[in-house]
Amino acid sequence: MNDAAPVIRTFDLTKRFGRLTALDGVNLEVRRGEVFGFLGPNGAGKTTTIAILLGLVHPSAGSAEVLGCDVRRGLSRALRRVGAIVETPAFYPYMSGEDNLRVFARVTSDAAEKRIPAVLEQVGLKGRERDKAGAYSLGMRQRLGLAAALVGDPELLILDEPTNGLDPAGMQEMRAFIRRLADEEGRTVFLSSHLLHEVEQVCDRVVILNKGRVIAQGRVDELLRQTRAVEMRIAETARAAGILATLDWVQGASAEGEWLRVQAPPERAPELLAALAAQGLFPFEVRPVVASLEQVFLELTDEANAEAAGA
Amino acid sequence: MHRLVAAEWLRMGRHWLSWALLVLLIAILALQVNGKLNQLAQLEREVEAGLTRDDTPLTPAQIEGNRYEIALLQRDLRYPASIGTAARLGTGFGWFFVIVFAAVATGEDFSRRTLRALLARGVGRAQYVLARTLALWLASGVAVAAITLLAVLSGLYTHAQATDDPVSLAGLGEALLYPLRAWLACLPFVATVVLWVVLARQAGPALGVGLSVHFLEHVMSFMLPFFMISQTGVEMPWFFRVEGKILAVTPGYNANVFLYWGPPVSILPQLVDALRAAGATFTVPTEPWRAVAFLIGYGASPWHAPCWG
Repeated sequence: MNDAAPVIRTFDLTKRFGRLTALDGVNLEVRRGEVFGFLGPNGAGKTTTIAILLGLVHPSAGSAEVLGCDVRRGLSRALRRVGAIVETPAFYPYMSGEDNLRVFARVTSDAAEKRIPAVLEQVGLKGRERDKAGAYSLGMRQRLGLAAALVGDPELLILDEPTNGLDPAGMQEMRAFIRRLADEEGRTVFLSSHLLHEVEQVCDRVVILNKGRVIAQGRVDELLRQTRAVEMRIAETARAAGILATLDWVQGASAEGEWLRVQAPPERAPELLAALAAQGLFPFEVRPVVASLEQVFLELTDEANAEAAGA
Repeated sequence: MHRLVAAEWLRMGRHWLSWALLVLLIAILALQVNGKLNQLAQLEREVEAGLTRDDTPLTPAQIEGNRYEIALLQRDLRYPASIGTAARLGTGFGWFFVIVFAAVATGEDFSRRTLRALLARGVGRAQYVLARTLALWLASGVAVAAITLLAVLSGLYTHAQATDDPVSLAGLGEALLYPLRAWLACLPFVATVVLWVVLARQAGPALGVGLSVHFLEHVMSFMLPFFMISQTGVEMPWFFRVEGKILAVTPGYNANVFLYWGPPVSILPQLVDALRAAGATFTVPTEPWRAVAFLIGYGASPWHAPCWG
């Protein structure tokens, strides 16, 4: 497989469970060496997508490729180069953390067993590896899950909510660790998370899934620029909103106290000011809105839900 | 495949239940052998004194019966036949334990969701079923090997307790066939239980059905001497005929026919021998090769499991 080829690619991926359509024509592409965020509210189809990519569930229509292998044929070869945490990490509680890794290492490859000490060190479980996995805290199990995913020296990591159960310091550490996996070790990370600020901090690109459909996909900074608004503090906000609403490139204006939020590109703020000045209105303060991924996510999912309700 | 079997092997080695069942099996077996030795000593005392345990005089027929039973016990406890006896006795509880362990060990992959983690590593469903079956069968081999080793080591002691005859290695080959057959006969039990667990996606139903069926097989085997009919042609009651038909297709009965390589008579052997002497034959199938065919059928059953997901 050449380096430029996508690591994961789906083509109109569809999955139906009886009458329920869990995935509806999903197209996404994950490039080598990036941290790819997979966002969506509960029930959006994230886990179904991951299950299809790992060969646990068969698609109803469409197709998907993992490391160049179709999920319907020859996926097992590709999965030897994939490490994954699906939902919560699962272990044998009567075995030590190290022995649990040994079980998964033996399944993966002959070389994987030799990597166990290094991987334990990497995830911060050194010194606790002889403890029974059943006695591990949720955070430690999460680390052990990551260790199990890493033990086979995978090219691609598929991580489903990897910071679940970690304390704030642990989450921060995990985020830095995931970034290092991509930046220093060249691994591709497919990260499913509901923590938007986490995705914003760690991921290069994201896809937002809602009700089984992709509603946005792209670089995080590009998506953030999609929420383009200007806020201004002004007297007579209602009158100002009415004036600005007449401009055809302004998507909307809403007043809140003495603040007016205008849905318009920040670089066209001078034109907004000119339109207001022409009517004798002068803002005290004008500032571009710095959007968070959370705002983008909520706006996009609200829009998608409203469209679906309208249809 | 060998890596997956090695992983399963490691897991079973760390499971407390494997060791608990092995210790329990050996303890029960030791008690059974000791019980046979005690029974032998008691019978010899009774014959010598001509009195029963509660000092009632023995009739000549009772003395004859006791002598017959003494001969049977001595036959089972003399070295090296005692190795085969240990293997046969071990299957009594051993096959129950095989069912329990196979169900629990396979079921936990569903209850703990570790099966997903294995499948996500490129392990095929058929590969999983095959590896689990093989690993469990190998584990049952460890139990059989442990029993055989203990029987070999304690055989001279048992022999000395049972008879004054000198030790001879005659019959060693035949005696060693019993552990081999006992182990081979574990495969259908393992395979059938793994299949049930995979179909039910949990241990409970397989455990319930497996233990119930095997218990029923044991209960029905008590009736085995009554599944004989004299050549003079006595009509068998219909429920015996139905019971015989059911028993003839169960894995436990066929495993026993295979183990004994013929009629698996361990209950009321005197009655069976007397009936045989009178020309009676079994009305249930007791051909070893037929049993082998059934066991192969049961042993091959898990290969269909992936078809059901």
